[in-house]
Amino acid sequence: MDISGKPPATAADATAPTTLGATPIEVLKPEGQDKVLAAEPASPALKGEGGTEVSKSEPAGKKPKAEPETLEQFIEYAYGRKGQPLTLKPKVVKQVAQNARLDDAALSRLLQLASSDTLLAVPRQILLLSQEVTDLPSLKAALTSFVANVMLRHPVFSDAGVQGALRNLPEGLPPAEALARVSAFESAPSAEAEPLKGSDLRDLRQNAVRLFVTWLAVNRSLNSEEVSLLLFQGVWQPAAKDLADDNARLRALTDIGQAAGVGLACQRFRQQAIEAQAQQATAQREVNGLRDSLSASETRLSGTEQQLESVKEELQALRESSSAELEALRRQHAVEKTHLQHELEQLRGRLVKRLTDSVEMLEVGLSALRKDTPRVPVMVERAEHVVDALRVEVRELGEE
Amino acid sequence: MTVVGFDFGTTNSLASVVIGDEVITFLENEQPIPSVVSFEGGKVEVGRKAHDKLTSAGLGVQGSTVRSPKTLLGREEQLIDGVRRDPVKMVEHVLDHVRRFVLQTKAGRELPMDRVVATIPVNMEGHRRALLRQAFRQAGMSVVQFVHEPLAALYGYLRMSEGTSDLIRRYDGKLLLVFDWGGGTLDLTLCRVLNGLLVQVANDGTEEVGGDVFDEELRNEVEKRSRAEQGLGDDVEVLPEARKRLLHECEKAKIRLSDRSTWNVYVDPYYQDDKQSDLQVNLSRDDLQDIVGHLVKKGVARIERLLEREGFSTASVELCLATGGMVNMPMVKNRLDELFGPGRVHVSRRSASAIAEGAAWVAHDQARLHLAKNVELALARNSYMPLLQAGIEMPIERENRRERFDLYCVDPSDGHGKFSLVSPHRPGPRVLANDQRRPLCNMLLKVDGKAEPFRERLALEVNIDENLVLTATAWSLNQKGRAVAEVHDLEFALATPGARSSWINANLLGDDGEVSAHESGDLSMRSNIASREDQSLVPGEVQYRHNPFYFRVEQYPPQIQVEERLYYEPCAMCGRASNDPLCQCATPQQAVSQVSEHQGLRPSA
Repeated sequence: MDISGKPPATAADATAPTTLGATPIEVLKPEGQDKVLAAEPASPALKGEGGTEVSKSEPAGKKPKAEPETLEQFIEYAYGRKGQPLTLKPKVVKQVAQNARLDDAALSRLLQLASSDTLLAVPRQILLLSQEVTDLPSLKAALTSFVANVMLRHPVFSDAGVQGALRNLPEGLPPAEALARVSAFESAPSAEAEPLKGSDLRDLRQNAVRLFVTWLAVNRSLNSEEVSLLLFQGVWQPAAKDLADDNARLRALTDIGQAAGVGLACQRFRQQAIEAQAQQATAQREVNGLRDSLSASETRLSGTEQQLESVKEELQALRESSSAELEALRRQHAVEKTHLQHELEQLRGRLVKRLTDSVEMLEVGLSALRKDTPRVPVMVERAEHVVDALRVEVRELGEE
Repeated sequence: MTVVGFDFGTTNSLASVVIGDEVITFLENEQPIPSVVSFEGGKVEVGRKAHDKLTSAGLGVQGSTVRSPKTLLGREEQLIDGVRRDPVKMVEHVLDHVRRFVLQTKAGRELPMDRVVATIPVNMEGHRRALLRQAFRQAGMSVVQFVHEPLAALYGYLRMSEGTSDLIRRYDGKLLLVFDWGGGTLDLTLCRVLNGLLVQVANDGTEEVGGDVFDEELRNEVEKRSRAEQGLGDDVEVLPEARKRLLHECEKAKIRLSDRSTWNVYVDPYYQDDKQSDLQVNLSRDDLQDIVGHLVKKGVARIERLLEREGFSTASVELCLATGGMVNMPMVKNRLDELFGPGRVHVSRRSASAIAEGAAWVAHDQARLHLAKNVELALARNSYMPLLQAGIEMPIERENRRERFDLYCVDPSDGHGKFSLVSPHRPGPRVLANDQRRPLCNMLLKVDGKAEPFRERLALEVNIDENLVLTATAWSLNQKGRAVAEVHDLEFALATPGARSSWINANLLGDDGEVSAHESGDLSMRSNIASREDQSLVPGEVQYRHNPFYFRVEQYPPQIQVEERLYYEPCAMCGRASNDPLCQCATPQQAVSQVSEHQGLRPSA
C-alpha cells in the first residue's frame, strides 16, 4: 500500500510532521490542507510501526505500513493522516471497496475516533477522496455516509437550519446563510470537553466551512464559481477582515501556500470579473443604444410635439380668424340690418308724409269746391299736385 | 363707443350717426324735428306738435311756445304761460325729445345716445356754449366736441363725396365757402384747405334773413293782396288761428313755387266777417321773387361783404357749398350761380341734414379741431409774441389747454401794464410781422408805477377750455394786480382723414393739458444780457428762453449785464423768478452775493 500526500508547497510544509506527536500542537498546513489539532491515534492499527500509513516524505528504509484493507482501516488511516490529503492506489481502493461495509461496532469506533478530531480536519479529505472513486459507488456512498454522520454529530453543524441544509431539506437554510452560521459558530462548554478558544476555534470554523462547502459541492453539484463564492464569503473575506495593517496583509499574501487553489479562485473571480466587465460593456452598449434610442425618440417626440403645437396654433389662428370673420359678418349683417330698417322707416315716413300732404291738400281743395262760389282752380291745382306727387312716388317706389 | 352727430339747429334739430361707413339720419316723416317747445299748463310739447302752434315768424318766445330756445341761452329766465322758465331747461326739452325720438326708431334703438359731437353756429359765444353743454348733460348726453355748423357741413360734403382724398387734393390751397341758409339764421364760413386741414378763414352770420322771415313777409303780402282783392279793410279781423294757418300755407307755397310756376294760397275761413270769408291769392314765381327778392339779395350780399372784408373776390372761391332749407329756392340758387358760376355751386341734395351728417362723420373719424391761427401778444415796438401757435389740438370733453408766460413791464410809468391779444388773418403758425392782425381782447393790469422798466415781473396764463373759450389771465407780482379776459370767437381747423399738415402738431402742449412747455422762472423778456450781436433778435425784444451762450463769465461782462442776469435768472435754489414773493430762499441781496461768489464774478464797482 502506498499512501502519498501532496508535496508541501512551502518550507513550512516541508518541515511539517507527518506522524503524530505526543503533544497536541497546531500545525500550519498549506492551502487545501486543513489545520489539525494533533492527538493520539484512536486506532491501534494505525499506531506506531504497525500502522499502514505511508508517506513519500518518510525516510527511506523505514518499514512500510500495512495497506488498509477494509473501510474501517481506511478511515482509521485517514484520521491518522491528521487532515493531510489522502491518496490510494487503485489496488488498495479495490481492496477497500470489497470490504466497504461498516458494522455498528466499527462505526461506533470510527465515530469515537472522529470525535477526537475536534477541529474537523479529516472529513473533508475523506469526502474529497470519495469523489475519486467514481467507479466504486458502494465505497463512495459509504465514505459519504460516514462523513455525513460525522458532520451531523459535530456541534458546529448542530444548528437545525444548517442540518437541513446538509440534508438538503426544504426547511434548510440556503447555502450562503448556512455557511454564515457555520462560520459564526461559537464553541459552547460541555461536559466532555472545554470550549475551544482562540486559534482553535478559528481553525475549527475554517475547517467546518471548508467541509461544508465541499459537502455542498459534492452533494449539490456546485460549480467552482459557486464554491469560490461560498469560500470567499465564509472563509476568505472574514479572514481578510482580521488583517489589521498593511504588514499583516503583506504577510498573508506572501504566506499563501497552495497556489493552485488561489489561482483557481482568482481565475474564477477574474473570469467572473471579465464576464461581468463584458456584461457591463454589453449592458453599457445596450444602455448607450437605449439612450440613443431614447434620445432619438425624444427628438421625434419633440418634433411631433412641435408639429402638434404648430398644428394647434394653426388651428387656433384658424379658429380666431374664423371667429373674427364670423364676427365681422355678424357686424356687417347688423349694420345692413340697421340700414335696411332705417331705409324702411324712411320709406314709411316719406309715404306717410306724402299721403298726409295729399290728403290735406285734397281736403282743402274739396272745401274750396264746396264753397257757395266753388274755388275750382284751388281744387284743380291741388288735385294736380297730388297726382304729380303720387306719380313721383309710384316712380320712386318702382325704381327702389 | 358710437358717438352721434347732433345738429341742434335754430329752427330744426336732428341727429345722424355713421354705421358701417354709411350715415343714418333720423328724420321724422322725412322732416327734421322742429326746435320748438310749447308749454301749456303742466304739459310740455316739443317738435312738430309745438311747431304747429306757431303763429308768427321770428325766434324766441311766442305766447306759450318757444321757437329756437337755443337763441335764449345766456339770457334771464323767461316768463312763459305764467311760469318762469330757464332757457337751459327749454333746450334740454328739445334735446331730450330728439334723443328719445332716435331711441324709439328701429335703427337707433341700439345706440347709446350718451355722447355727441354737437354743432354750433359760428357766432355762438363761449358762455352760451357752456350752457348748451350743460343742457346736453341734463338730457343725458355729453358733448365730446363742438364743431361749427358750416365746418361740419363741409366736412360731411367732402367725406360723402366720391374720392374724398382726390377732392381734398383738388381743393388744396383753395377757398371754399359754406353758405348755410336755414329757417332761422344765415351762416357763412370761408375756409381754406391746407394740407388736408379745413381751416376757417372767416365767419359771418345773421338772424335777419332766416327762412321764417321769408314766410312772414310772404304772409303779410298775401293777406294784403287778399284784402285788396276782396275789398276788405284793415278793420276786418282775422279768425283766431287763421293767421297761423296762412303762415304755414305761405311756407308751403314758397316750397311749391320751386317746381311750379303758380300756386293758390288758400285758407278757409280766414276773415272774421259775416260770411266767414276765405282767403285765396294766386301767387306766381315772379310774385314770390318780388315779395322776398330783397331778402335773397340781402342774404347773398353777406357773401360779397364777407369776401370783400377778407380781401377775396368771388372768383377766388373754388366751391360754394349751399346748405339749409332756403337754398332750394330757385331764386337763391340762381343768385348763387350768378355770383360764382354754376360749376362752383353745389347745393346739397340733403341740405336739411348736411350739418348733422357732417357732425356724424366728424364723430366717426374722431376728427379733432385745431387752432387755425396764432394767438399772439402785442408787445411794445409793434412786435408780436406767439402765445398759442396755430395747429395745437383743441381740448375735447373734460380737457384744458394751458400755457403760462413770464414777462416784464416795459413802461410802468402810468401804473398799468397793457395786454393786447391778437390773431393774424393768415392761418397757420408761420406769419409775417407785417401781416394784418385782428384784436382778440385787451387787458389792463395794475403794475407798480414807481418801478423801473423791465423790473416788475408779470405773468400771463392763457387757457382754452372744453367749450373752446380762451381765457387770458394776467398778474403783476409786485403790485398784485389781476386782469382776466375771454375770447369766444377763435377760428379752428378740422383735420380730414389722412391730413398731414406740417403745422398740425406745431408747438403742441402737454397731453394732459396742464403742463406748460416753459419751465418755472424761464425768461421771456431779454434785456441787456446779450453781449454779442445776434441778428435774429432786437435788443429789448422778446425771446422765449435765456440763451446761456449770451452770457460768458470768462468774457468779463460789464456790471450792468451781471446784475441783470442775476435779476432775471431764476432762483438757483427753488427755481422761481428772482423777485417772486414766494421765493423764500434768501433775500435778493444775499442771493446776489451768494451767486456772485459762487460764480467767481468780479465784485461790483
